Amino acid sequence: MKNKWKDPRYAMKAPEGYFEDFENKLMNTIGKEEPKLKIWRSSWVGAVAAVMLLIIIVLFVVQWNSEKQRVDFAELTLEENWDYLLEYTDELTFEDFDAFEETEEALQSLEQELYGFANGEEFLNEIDLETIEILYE
Amino acid sequence: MLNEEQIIQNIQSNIDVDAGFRQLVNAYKERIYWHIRGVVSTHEDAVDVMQNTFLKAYRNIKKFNADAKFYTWLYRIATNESINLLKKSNRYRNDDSENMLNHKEADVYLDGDEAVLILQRAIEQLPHKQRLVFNMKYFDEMTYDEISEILETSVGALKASFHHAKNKIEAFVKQQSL
Repeated sequence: MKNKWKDPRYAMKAPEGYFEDFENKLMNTIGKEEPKLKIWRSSWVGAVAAVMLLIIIVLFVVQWNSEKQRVDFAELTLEENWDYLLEYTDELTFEDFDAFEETEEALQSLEQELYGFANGEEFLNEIDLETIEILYE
Repeated sequence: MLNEEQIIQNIQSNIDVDAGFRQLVNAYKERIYWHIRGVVSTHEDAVDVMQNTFLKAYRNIKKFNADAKFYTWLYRIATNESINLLKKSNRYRNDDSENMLNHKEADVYLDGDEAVLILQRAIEQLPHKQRLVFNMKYFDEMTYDEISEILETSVGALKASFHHAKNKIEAFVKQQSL
């Protein structure tokens, strides 16, 4: 096809059919490009979702560990609690102290109850002589 | 039948994007082709630049400012893409007119008598910037304001470029005619 706008420009010509077919070729190229964009977008969304999931898992594990630490106080003996407190004084929070204090108070009241019961007259009256003999044998 | 402004508005609003863009391509493909061909010279190079120009236009049409003229915007993309191709192939120099002429004489998509070929050679020996300005003013019949917008050059500088280009062509043609 000849240059219909201004043929004198270099007397150039374009191959037959070039302009007729141009839009189709161009739109085909555009059509081939678009799915790539979609894949890129979906993989990008997937990556964001994976990162979010990882953050949630990390937060859950951190939270679970801190909960576990608090429960451990109750499971330890009084001596172990004191050892722990002396060793990690700088790292303890006010919540840890409160938890420890509550545990200590609970143990003390339990001890008092036991000893009080053992020292009481009712306890002595309930022990028969046969039991005492067995204990001394 | 929608006018150009409505088509662009629709595309920017995601309405009939491909059909609208097809209409714009159809309206400008030939003008843009000859503009590109005037810069890069061979049809093979022009094909690559054409594709890049319209792909870029498609990808960026939503950013196009509707207050501006669409064809001016398209010409600017085409011009930049043409210059980029010349730079990549190390042809964007002022002293390579001999090389460009050899390139052109080997072009199978060339047709014309001796007078036209002389004019063609005269244009080819111009520096790239002067050649661009001359083509846009003389062949595309653009105003200096439009060329200024496309090439981002002052009107004064464009007038000077066109004047120099015209004098050089006249001198070349006279010399060849002797």
